[in-house]
Amino acid sequence: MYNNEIEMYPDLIVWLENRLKGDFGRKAKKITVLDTHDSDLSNFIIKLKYQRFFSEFPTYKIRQDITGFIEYEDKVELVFVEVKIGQLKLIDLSQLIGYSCIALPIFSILIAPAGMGSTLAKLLTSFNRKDILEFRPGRKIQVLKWDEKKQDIDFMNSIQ
Amino acid sequence: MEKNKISNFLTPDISYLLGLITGRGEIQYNQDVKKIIIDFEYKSQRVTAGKLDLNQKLHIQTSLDKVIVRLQNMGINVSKDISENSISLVLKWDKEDIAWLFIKFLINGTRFSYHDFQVPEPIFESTDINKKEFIRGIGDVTGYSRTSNAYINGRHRTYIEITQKNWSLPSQLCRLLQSIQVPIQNINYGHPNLRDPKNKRGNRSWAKEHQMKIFAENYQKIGFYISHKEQALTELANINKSNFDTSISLCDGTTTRKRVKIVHPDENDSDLPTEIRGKHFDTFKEICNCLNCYMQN
Repeated sequence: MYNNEIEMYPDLIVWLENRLKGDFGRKAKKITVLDTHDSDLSNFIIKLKYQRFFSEFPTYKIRQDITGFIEYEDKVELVFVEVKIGQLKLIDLSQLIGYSCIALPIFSILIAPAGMGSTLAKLLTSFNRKDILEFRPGRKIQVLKWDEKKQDIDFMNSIQ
Repeated sequence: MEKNKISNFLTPDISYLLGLITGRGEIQYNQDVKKIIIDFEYKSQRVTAGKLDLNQKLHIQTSLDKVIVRLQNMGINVSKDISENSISLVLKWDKEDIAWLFIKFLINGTRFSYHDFQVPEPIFESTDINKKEFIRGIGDVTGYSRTSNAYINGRHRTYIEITQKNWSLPSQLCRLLQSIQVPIQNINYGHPNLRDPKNKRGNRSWAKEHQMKIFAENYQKIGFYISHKEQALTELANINKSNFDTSISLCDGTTTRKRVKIVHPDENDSDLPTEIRGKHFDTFKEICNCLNCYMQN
């Protein structure tokens, strides 16, 4: 049982790295997944020498918990993960929508072992407002429930 | 440029559905009816695991609501059918749409029930996430974690039970489980040399489902979506973790311990598949070898 969000990072980094390798590994040159919660995204872009791929990078003063970098010959694509220890709330989703609109990852993940809170679940499933998850055409936020025992997603209680 | 492959189009949702169908699905197909029926069977109302005493029927009914929503989100028309000893999901199509054709293609054209379904080839080529979802689908319909499944030393196990008619599935599932680092402790095939080795019971008592046995703590990586199965697994895996600190390695196809068994009069039984009919086996791995074990062939 995790006591805080930081304890979850190592497990989620392993899981995301496997997922990205499975989904993009055949075409990508390199896949890197990092704990990015304690420094701005712009600093990580500099550290990885990816400045030429992100013209607006100096403005990326955002700190999502985990970031996946998928490097191709001519571009680098991002994946954001925001981790919560408690139930996922609208405010958590709003924060990630904001980050995602700025840096345009190919997709973002909002994840918690407790899954969605009742208001968020009602909005997304009962009222079927999944449109709010799409921050650009084809680019979506996935709202996932993490299963610590399985070290995997609980797909029955997740929205992809 | 890399060619498109079917495995690239698999999602966790499709993989899970394929697992359910492979484990306990039956296709009803003619001009008027296009249905897939998936049975969630339970032999008794209650099941015990460690200190737990669980109402299977209730847990299956509740857990299936989530499964139904998941399938509906894929655009499939699903309903729940409750009978005395099983609850079934009925997936129905009015016309041969792309989903019907895709599923039918994946579960191998001319096969019509779990008695002869095989692991769809694209699952082997897919991601670990999809492989796990496929196995979860199989486990939700035909996986069991029960106190009575324990090994002789008391270590608890999950059984995946495969209908005795299906001789291809155990070795294919073994390959899939091993590809995600889940070791199988034993496969107890429904064969006279394994189930009635001393020919004491007679009366074809060996003709029972094949049991794939996995230590509970190893199966936790897969787990179940059916709630009482997951609770039982957690309980039994925790007991194992408190009492055993050894781990078993993945099968490499070789046998270390071999006890010679007597010849059984049913070794030539007409219900046994041609690959093994008329042959004598001392270990389960010798049967695996005849059934296309990827480690031995």
